[in-house]
Amino acid sequence: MDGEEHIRRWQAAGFIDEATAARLLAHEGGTPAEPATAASERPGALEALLYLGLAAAAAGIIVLVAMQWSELRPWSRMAVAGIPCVLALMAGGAMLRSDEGGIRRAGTVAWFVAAALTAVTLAIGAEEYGPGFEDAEAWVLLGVAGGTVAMAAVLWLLSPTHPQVLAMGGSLLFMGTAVGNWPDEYSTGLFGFTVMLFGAAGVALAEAGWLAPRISARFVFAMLAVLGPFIFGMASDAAPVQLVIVAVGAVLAGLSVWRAVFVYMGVGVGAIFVGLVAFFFRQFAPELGAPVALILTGALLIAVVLVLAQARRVMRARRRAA
Amino acid sequence: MKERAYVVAVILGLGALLVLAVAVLQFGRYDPSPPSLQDHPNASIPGKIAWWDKDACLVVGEASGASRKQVSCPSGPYGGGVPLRWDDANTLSYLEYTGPTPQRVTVNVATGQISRVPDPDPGKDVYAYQGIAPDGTRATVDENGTVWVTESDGNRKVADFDVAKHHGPGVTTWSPDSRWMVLLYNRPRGDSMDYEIWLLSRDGTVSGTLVEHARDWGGVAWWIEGVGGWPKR
Repeated sequence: MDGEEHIRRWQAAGFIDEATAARLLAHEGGTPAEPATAASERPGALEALLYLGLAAAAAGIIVLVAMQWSELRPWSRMAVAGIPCVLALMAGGAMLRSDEGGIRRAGTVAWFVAAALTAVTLAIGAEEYGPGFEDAEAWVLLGVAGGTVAMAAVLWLLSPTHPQVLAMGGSLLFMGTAVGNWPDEYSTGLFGFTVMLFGAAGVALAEAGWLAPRISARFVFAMLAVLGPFIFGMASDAAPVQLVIVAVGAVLAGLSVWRAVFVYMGVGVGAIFVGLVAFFFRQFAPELGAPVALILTGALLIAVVLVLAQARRVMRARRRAA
Repeated sequence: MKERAYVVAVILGLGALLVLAVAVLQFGRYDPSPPSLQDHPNASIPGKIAWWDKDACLVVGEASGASRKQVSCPSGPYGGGVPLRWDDANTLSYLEYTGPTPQRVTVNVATGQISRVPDPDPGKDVYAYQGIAPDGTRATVDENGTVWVTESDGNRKVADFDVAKHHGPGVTTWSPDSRWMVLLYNRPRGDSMDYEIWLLSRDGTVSGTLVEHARDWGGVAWWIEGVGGWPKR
């Protein structure tokens, strides 16, 4: 069994994704995946029609709901979101079995929509049939968010694709909102901390090679990791808390250099930039005025561009050397 | 597939751990209510207090918390009314705005009998929710649950309740002898119409929860024998 055959078996078993297989084949001098398959992966008219159908159905549901919501009974309100959710799940499952790349891709989008509709269905169900005890609201929101995360995770388990990674990231952001809603007064600190924790866990899982596709997993979870400290930094007056986003950005930039992954550098440096600009304006603008904060921001922007350019050069050199 | 299962387990496990931690630690939750006067009556609190309960029924109880009884449950779309006041030791009255002219409703505390007469000049009533004592002292509660009393020599902090910011109690009225404050507290996650009634001594040393479920219509009136009632016309 030669190297090319090994790579094809690993790809078929799901250990490596298509892009990685193509890179390995190119490195080993083999032929990247069959040209016929590659052509079928290109978006086509059929795929566009599928998306158009999804958009039209969604628009119809929204208009129907807007016009008739007050007339609907509780079970029919649930059905408005629940039936499309089940249909999206079934259609997505069927489409994912197709040989056509475009149809399979549409299936992943249908499952993404199903994950979002799960949240809506659970929320309507909780509103219509939810428990009536005094503290129910916080528990209900946690339940709805937990159910959405579970659905997104199961769909990713069955189809580890970009839309499912995005759905998982979105559901975890929702979970952060629900956790932040637990205290008597809404806690942006707890919301941000939860989102940051999920982001860090996702980045770790992506780097362990377990969370795939890595491209979207790295981007989505790195974004969560910096969005968290951005949220609690903006809500806090304490300078160290406002600077956590800068620290997280620096960690991502370091990870980028270590793993030779540019997406972490982009997200990390972006976070450092946003964090420092917000910090300058909140800490210095009241005393030194907006012009000084703008000068500092401009200098920072130039520094960011130089760092990104340098990082890209270093990473290209490392890839070439590898 | 095994690795994917690990990913799902880690993400769901992390979420479950977070929820468990905030729920077990009661993160950000407060229970500022003073001890129940119904369970532990305080004989040093004088007089009797009237309030609207959660079912819009008029209740009169000892301010000490020792006893209470439902006086009447007025029917009609409005139910209760403000400002509730004591006309004498045995008579309560309040305004009802159900028609073009306000009705003065009088309730016999002993029998529960109700009578209504038009009151064309209701503006003379001192509204209970103004937080002003009969001697002119004013009490306020800031966003952190600290109770301040404004006296001739300035503001004095008398109590500090551990509450979520902007979710503290409010001073609604005073005792007729100006020695006690009545505070209304709406639990942040409870029914927005469901209030607790707290009593707090003027110096802040004694406090207690008189009622756990009351309606907030500003309708709390206090009577002390030999002193009179508050609020009054």
